[in-house]
Amino acid sequence: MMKKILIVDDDELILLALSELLKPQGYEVTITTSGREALEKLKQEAFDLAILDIIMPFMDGIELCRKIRERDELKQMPIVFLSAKSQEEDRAAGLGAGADLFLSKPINPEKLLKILAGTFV
Amino acid sequence: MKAGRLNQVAEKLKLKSLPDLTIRKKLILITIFLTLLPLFAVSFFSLNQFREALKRSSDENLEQLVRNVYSICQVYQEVNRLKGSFTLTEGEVLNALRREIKGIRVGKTGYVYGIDIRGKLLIHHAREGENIIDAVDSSGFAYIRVMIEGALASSLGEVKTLRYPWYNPEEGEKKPRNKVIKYQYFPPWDLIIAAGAYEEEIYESLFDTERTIYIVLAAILVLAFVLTLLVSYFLARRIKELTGATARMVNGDLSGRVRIRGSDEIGTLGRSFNRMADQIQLYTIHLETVVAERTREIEESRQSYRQLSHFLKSVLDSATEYGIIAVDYRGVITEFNKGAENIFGWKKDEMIGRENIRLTVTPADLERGLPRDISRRAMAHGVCDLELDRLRNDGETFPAHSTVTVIREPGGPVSGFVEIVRDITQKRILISQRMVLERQLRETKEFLENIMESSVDGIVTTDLKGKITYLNRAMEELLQYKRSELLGVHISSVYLRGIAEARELMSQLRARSRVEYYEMQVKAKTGDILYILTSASLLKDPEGETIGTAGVFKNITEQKRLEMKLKETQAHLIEASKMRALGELVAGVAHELNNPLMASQTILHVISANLHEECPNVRRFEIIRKCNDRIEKIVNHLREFSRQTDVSLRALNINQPIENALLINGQQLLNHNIIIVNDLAADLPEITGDANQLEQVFLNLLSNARDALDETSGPRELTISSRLEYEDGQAFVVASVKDTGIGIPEENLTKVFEPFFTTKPVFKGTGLGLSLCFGIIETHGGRIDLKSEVGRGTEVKIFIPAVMRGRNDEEDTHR
Repeated sequence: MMKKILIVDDDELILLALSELLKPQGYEVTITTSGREALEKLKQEAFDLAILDIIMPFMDGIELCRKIRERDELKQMPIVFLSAKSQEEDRAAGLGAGADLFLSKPINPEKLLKILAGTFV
Repeated sequence: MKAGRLNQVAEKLKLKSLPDLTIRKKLILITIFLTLLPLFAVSFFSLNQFREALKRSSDENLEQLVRNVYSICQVYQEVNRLKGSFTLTEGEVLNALRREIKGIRVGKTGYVYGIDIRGKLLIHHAREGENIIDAVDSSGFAYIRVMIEGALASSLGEVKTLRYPWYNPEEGEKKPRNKVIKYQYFPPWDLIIAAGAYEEEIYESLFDTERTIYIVLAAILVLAFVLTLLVSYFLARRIKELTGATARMVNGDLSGRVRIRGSDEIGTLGRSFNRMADQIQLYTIHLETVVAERTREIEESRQSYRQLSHFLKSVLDSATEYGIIAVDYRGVITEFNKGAENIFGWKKDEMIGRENIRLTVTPADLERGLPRDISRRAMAHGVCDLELDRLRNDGETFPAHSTVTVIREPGGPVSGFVEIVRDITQKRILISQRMVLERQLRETKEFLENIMESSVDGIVTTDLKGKITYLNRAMEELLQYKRSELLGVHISSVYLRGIAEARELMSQLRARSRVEYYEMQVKAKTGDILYILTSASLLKDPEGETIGTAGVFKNITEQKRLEMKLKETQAHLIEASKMRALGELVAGVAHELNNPLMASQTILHVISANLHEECPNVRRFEIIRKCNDRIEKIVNHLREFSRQTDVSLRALNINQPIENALLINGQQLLNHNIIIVNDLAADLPEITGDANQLEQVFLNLLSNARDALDETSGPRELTISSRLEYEDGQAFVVASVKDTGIGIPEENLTKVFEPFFTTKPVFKGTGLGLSLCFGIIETHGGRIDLKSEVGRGTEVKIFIPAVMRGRNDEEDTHR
């Protein structure tokens, strides 16, 4: 059973790169470029993990995270922030919104893979 | 009474007891008394002495004569005895003796003779052989018998004396004279040898002497008398001359002088007299002059009195505005001039000779007894000045000023009063007008002064020479001088630039007649330099003539200071905002770079993972990966630089971050063959700061130093030190990192704090190190000083304010 990962980032380069990285590793990757689109996708199907960027137009990652956690069926879904922001307050805000992990860009691809693998053990 | 009279009598007697004789008579008396008496006394005593001496010597002569004859007798007898057979008869011996003796004469009539003891004259020049035993002298004294008895009773060799009166009728002598006989008995021959002589003859020389003395005495007497007469004549003549001159002087002839010369008392008296006469003559002349002068003065004063009374009369007549009224001591008016007529409306005839002064006084004042009161006051002070309402003959009253003066007889009682009175109705009006004007003027002046005094700006006026004539309170406070210290002082003395400033101001004033917003500096008394904004203008009098200058001094020192501080702050703000903007920019850049970087890294990772090891692209992709890593490093550095997290400030010792930095970098420095000199001061006060950030600062500085030392061929020494320094009373902890590296060229000194400025090789530095340090130290309220010399090295000094509270308290209690 392939793990389904939802990636939300307004930067397509990131989406493309992460897809390239994760798909060969046996993950089913769904990408969206906005919060609204992500929420739509989450209504249509269930994901095993969501990777959110913070800085996005219209709805930032923090708000998105909060909205996801508002849904009862998504309360248990692991959420990982992957943001160019790296400061303590950002980390605190992210975790406070209900995320499970906060990672800073750029992140070593191998490290990311290890973390993800660890999440699904 | 009786005693008094007795005393008077005694007095008279005393006066009478000194004979009232002329000087001449007194002198003669005294001369006679003083010369003759001792003369007589001396003559008397000396004659007596002389007589005694003569008598003794003649007695001795006679005695010697007797003894000589006696010796001859002895010789003869001896000769006779020796010859024996050739014995002479007594007669032969006598004859021989006779020859010897008869020739001897004593005096004129004296002689030597021999007589035997029976009274027979054996040897005598006239009566030889006679027996004169019974011979008596003129008084009946049988002197021969006495002599014979004496001779027989005498001892051997004794010569005896016998005196008796005798005269020798045979020799023609008429009266008996005293005779002296010396005799000696020669027993072998029963012979009495006698020598006799008249005393008178013996003393003949004495009488001569006596006579001579008496003649001399008489001569002296006469001479003394004559001399006394002469002396007294001369004395008396000079005194007479003085008396005469005095008498002439008494009679008024002051020209008389005495011709008395000589240096004796009378001479002195004469000169004194002449001097006195000179003086008297001088005084007399002076007195005459004085009298003449006085006479002239009296004449003059009489003249001036006449003029004065004339003058007075014209004054009285012409003083038409001033009423002059004279009143005698009874109150009767004696003078009432034209002015008084004008003022009071009464005619002179109506007033003179009457006690009418009451007509000029208001009934109310009369009732109060004012006239009497005034005269009392005038008598007490000599003069009395008063202003009161007076009465005119038409019944009107008017304000009047009058001066009442007391007239006194010279040194005597009051003879009357003079009143000078003036109608001051007009004057009153004028005065009240003037008072109003003065009050207005005063009010205006006070108003202006109030404005000047309440001005917060200094106001100064000077005369044309520049001397200060007025300054207000604000000016005093501005310059810290008292007003009195500056009045009259030249204004330039408070200018910092002195007279040059004053000239500049004055030339501008002359050109434009006012100066506005002129900026300059002045010196306060305390030595403080103040910035002043001056507005000045020329002061002119109502005719438009320039009489001085007026200036308003606005103290803008504080403003200046604030301005400068503001500029400084602005510069800082600009710098800070520049930094902040830069930080934001850098943060944005870093953030934006993160996504492509991450994408690139991720894709590169995917590609690399799928490549065979032998593929030559593996090596190439590895280069791209390194590029990515470098980009990541730069981005991280940028993020560090722009990090805007709150610094966590706490009290710490600056040595702590320094030591941490050394701990991290120390080994590396040693590896680079760098000698580290650690000069950290112990016991430093703490600072407030972020340990991590400060550590970062020192890491950067050490890294810079290391790079600078790597490029030098000289000594490789790095000194890191810390100490306490004071600047403007504020304590700073100063940390210094000093290297002996290549140094920074001067043109780069200002650039090194700019972000991205670096001289290091491309891959070595980001150019953000010192910029980062600058930001951190700035947030610590400190500053960075940079000193560098190419080829010698660089010193970076970091100043951070020290926290002195705790330490100070502790030190204070320990002191």
